[in-house]
Amino acid sequence: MTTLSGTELREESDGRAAAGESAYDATVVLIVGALMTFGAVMVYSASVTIRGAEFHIERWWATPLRQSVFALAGLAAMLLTAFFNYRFFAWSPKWGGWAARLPALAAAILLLAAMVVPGAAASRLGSARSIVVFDGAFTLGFQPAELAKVALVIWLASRLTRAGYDVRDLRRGFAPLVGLAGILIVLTGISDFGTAVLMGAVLLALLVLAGARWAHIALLMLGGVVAGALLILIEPYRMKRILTFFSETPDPTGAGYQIQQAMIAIGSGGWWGRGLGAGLQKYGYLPQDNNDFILAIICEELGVVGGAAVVALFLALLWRGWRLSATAGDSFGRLLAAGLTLSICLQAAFNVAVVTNSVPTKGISLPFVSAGGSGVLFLGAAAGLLASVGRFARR
Amino acid sequence: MRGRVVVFAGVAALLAAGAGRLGYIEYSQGPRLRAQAARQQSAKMAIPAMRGEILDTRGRVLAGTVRRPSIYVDPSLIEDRRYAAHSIAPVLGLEPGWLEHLLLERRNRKFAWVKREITEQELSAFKKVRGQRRLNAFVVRYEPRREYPYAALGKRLAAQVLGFVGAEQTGLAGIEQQYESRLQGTDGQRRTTVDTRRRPLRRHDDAYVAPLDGASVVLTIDAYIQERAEHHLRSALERYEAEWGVAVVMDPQSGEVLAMATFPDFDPAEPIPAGLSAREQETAQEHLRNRAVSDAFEPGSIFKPFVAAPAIEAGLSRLDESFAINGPAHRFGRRTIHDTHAYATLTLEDVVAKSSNIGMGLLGERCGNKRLFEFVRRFGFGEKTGIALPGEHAGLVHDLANWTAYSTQSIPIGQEISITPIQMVSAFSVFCNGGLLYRPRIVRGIISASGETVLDASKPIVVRRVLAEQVADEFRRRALVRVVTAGTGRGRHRAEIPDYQVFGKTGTAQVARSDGRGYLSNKYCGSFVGGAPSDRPRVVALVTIYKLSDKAYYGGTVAAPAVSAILADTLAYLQVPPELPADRPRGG
Repeated sequence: MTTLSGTELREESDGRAAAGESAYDATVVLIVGALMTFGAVMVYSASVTIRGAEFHIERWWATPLRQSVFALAGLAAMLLTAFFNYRFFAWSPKWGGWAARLPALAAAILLLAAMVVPGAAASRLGSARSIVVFDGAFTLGFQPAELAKVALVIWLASRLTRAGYDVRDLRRGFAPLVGLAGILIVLTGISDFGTAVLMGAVLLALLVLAGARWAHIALLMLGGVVAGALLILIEPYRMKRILTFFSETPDPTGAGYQIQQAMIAIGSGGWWGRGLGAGLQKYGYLPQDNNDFILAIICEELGVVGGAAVVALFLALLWRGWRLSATAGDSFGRLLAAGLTLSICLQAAFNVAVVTNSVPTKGISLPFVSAGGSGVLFLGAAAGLLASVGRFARR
Repeated sequence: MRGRVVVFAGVAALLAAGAGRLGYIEYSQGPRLRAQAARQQSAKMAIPAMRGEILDTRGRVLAGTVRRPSIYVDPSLIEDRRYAAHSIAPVLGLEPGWLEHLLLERRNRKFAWVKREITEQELSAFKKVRGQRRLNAFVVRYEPRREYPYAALGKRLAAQVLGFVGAEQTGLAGIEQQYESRLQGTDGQRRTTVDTRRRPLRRHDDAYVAPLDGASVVLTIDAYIQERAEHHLRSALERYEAEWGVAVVMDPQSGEVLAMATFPDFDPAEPIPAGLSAREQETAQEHLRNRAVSDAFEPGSIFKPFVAAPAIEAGLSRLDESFAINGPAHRFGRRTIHDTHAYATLTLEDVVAKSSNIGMGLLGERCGNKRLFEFVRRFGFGEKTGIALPGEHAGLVHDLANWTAYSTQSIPIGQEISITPIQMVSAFSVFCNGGLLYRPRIVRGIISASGETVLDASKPIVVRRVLAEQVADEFRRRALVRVVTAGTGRGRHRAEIPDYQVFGKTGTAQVARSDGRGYLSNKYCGSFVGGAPSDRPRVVALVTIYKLSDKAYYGGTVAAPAVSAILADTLAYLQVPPELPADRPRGG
């Protein structure tokens, strides 16, 4: 072990020995693999509409087929990164820290490209979120926000555990870090507000874990609220969603329609559901049924019990991530494991909150489960990286 | 690491809260949300019940219902409009360009008629193309439609009796209206689960209630007699260029209406034809009315028997009593009554046969208003007969308190009173069945869709005895036969027919002005009511022809030939044995 950070050296001097290299964490891989497989099944269920096939109105098979392919790709990416040594991303003098910076830089460039390059951005529900990679028999889009989410965690974990870095120093430690992270978050937030909020929350969590000053964190939160308000004001539909959430009588045909239909889906499933594939809300009633609102379809078909089981899997992942973070052999691993776990599980918690009408509607998908190629691919890679942290765990 | 437990526990709490919220939604709102889901996801569709038929007395269908296939399309489901239009239009005999335009115009709609009421050939060709090219957005819908089999043969029958149905297949006139609740049946219902475009999601229904088809109404009308009556009525109207006429044929022994015709009639499939001017529409509206029950008119001389016969029964006169007429004019107080011929004396029998107004005036004087009123009411005038048809008019008989000295002469010659054709035929039947007034019946019964008798109305209903049997028979055999043999209905071209002895009474009345002030100078209403055979009458018929030109306005001339022709055809059809020897000379 030649590349140890300052913090780690301190801990080793405390007398606790780092463990030798072992295997990746299989539990994480199993949990995430289960979620991805389940997701592919549910996307299939939510997308297949019998009459659609009969009337030739849509290529009903396109979405489930693509989701199955991406679930496989996501599993492959997870296994690949699980075998990969996560320490590649740790700050190292050899690479000049560029290994950690690379994903974040790439994400920033792609986010800019999505906004600037004409025709590159495909509008989806009013937000230009994806770069169209291929458009022919099927459309293949790439969502830089999904990459940005993971890249931010890697870069933060690396930067915060860099030798000689002091997060408590506002001018030379805290401010530059938050500034750079802020650029990535705002770039994401222009087209994808929900993901930006999530990234902000993860940033806060990592700063807390890394021991930043409370005063600095409070200042950052204030800045975050201002930035968030600005992002809301530049897109009228965000304002509408928030107003809808707080209005006393939601208009069932307007902006409140989606959440109303989600509630009907959850309610009509009962405790045990209508049965897999037997849901009815997917027949045009619930918009985004195979995507952001897949949990509502899960609840309709498999009941509250089914929905709770999905949440339980995320809780299991959270617990496992906590264990990995606690037992990681180095501080980078600890922070990386915590960041990745929180990123995934916070997203899941946000999604559940949106679907259950607990917070205003925003475009947040359920990790590993919702339809969407980039999400499954990059979150799969992130989960693999998390599993990889297990290889240097202390026993 | 500082605060790791707190941060992780916080996220865990968020996730757990989410799961708890799922359970809470189910717990607190589950039933309400499930009801909401059921409401929005299910569609109710009515399965229309088949409307019952209207049958004649022998079970011949006068009005029936068929289901005709029609094609509609959900344009929002069509992706390739040109392909769809060019596939479907040719088999339905439509212009592909027109269909393509329709699909384009209605592309955001879910429904558009492609073609209503297609033929069987078109249907099978359409189904083949739809199956091959998977154009399931085109759908067949079967729609009920009232059919009139005789109209299809070019002889529409009893239009005003049957009435007609509106666009929603509800009866708006005639028997269709009167028996609406029996005919319509009860619609069935199916409930299916649908998507947001209201397309069924399952091949089976969630709930199905079979429709209960409507019951059929059996009339006393006989299609053959009805056709004959309409034929002879129409001929008479055309011959005398009359505005309209009524014919009613009845079985006097039971009160059953065998035929009831009003002409001009209308097409029940299109009662008010499209594209008429306001004035033409008003005229067409007039033709919808069943004048045999809905129109009351002043009867004139045809009314004389209804005063003469009861006067005999009351012992006020005899058939052979001579009246000093001293015509052609006679003064009754301040009023002068005229006869068409100058008679010196006439027996009561001849007063009726020759239709002497003076003779009736003298008889009226002898009866007095009180008795006259009682006679008139006894025959059922001034009250509805209760026939099972909508819009019956009661006629008009003033209260006795309002009668004047004029009434004493007016009533015996059929003035100051108005009656309906159905009242006249029913009252005249009293002379044919031994003095009984039967309630006229046009419905024999109702048969449910499953063939059970729901209502049996085949039994005759006696309202009251009007005359003693002997008085009625003698009045018929002598006075009413004499009208035909020696009176106003005499001669082959008037009321007589071969093989049977006809009896009856002519009548000509002036037409009251629509403003109620006097009579129109050159418009007359000619009527003849008659029956045959005279010995035991089987048929009674009335023909009234309204608003004639002044060239031939006597009831005997205009209406009697029509009645005799109807009687002849009906008696032959009923296979009534001939009454008169073939070689015996006829007439008096």
